Amino acid sequence: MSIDAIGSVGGIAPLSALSPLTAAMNTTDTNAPTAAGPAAGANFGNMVAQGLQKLQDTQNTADNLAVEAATGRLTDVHDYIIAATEASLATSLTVAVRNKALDAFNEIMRMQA
Amino acid sequence: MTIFGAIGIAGTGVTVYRKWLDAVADNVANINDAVPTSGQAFRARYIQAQAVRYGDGDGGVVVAGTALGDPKGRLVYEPENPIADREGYVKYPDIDLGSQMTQLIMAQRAYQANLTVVDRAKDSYQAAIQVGKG
Repeated sequence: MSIDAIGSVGGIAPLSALSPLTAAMNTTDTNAPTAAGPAAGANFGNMVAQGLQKLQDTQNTADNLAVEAATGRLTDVHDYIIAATEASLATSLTVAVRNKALDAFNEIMRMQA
Repeated sequence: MTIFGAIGIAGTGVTVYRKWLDAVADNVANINDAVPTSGQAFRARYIQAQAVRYGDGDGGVVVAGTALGDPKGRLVYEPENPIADREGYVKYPDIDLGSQMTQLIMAQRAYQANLTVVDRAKDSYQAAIQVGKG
């Protein structure tokens, strides 16, 4: 199972729509904590990309062990079960992080209404 | 250190006890191997477990090696056995079936315990992922 398509999300651009907001905050109140600039956005993108790469690795491990089980080369039954469990947990975690990020973005988008 | 550490650590334990089960199975399977008194009796296999340091390494346990039993075995008087020597003795491996059965139960229970740790760790991580939902 390949999830390369999701990997492209890793290249997500920093939230450029927020830049005017940051500028506005800086002009109205100079004492406000400097909001996360484009650099922080890029870091978040990298973080997401790394997380997806690790998820891809766990999925590959589980897939390889599944093939070994099917072809009779698997020496330890639990190796596959553990790899599949880890892959399932990693997927759940990635989806949870994705949902949280999406919720935060939606919350910010609602501010203009 | 990986993100789901407890699962991996318990997994190394399952591997070690699987090997212990294999060793006991091998010892029990060969418990009645008779050899001539001039030869070497079957040597029982004993698994030696060793801890992987948590912090430096990933934690968990590995099989450091296999210790072998005494090749001298024990002499049994079986004059009707075709491989018996002039006095009528053959050599059997010096393995105690009761001890092997005890080890079998220990290995089986430890195997199950480690799998239970995997299961509980999975439930715990799932609960952590569920935080804030709904």
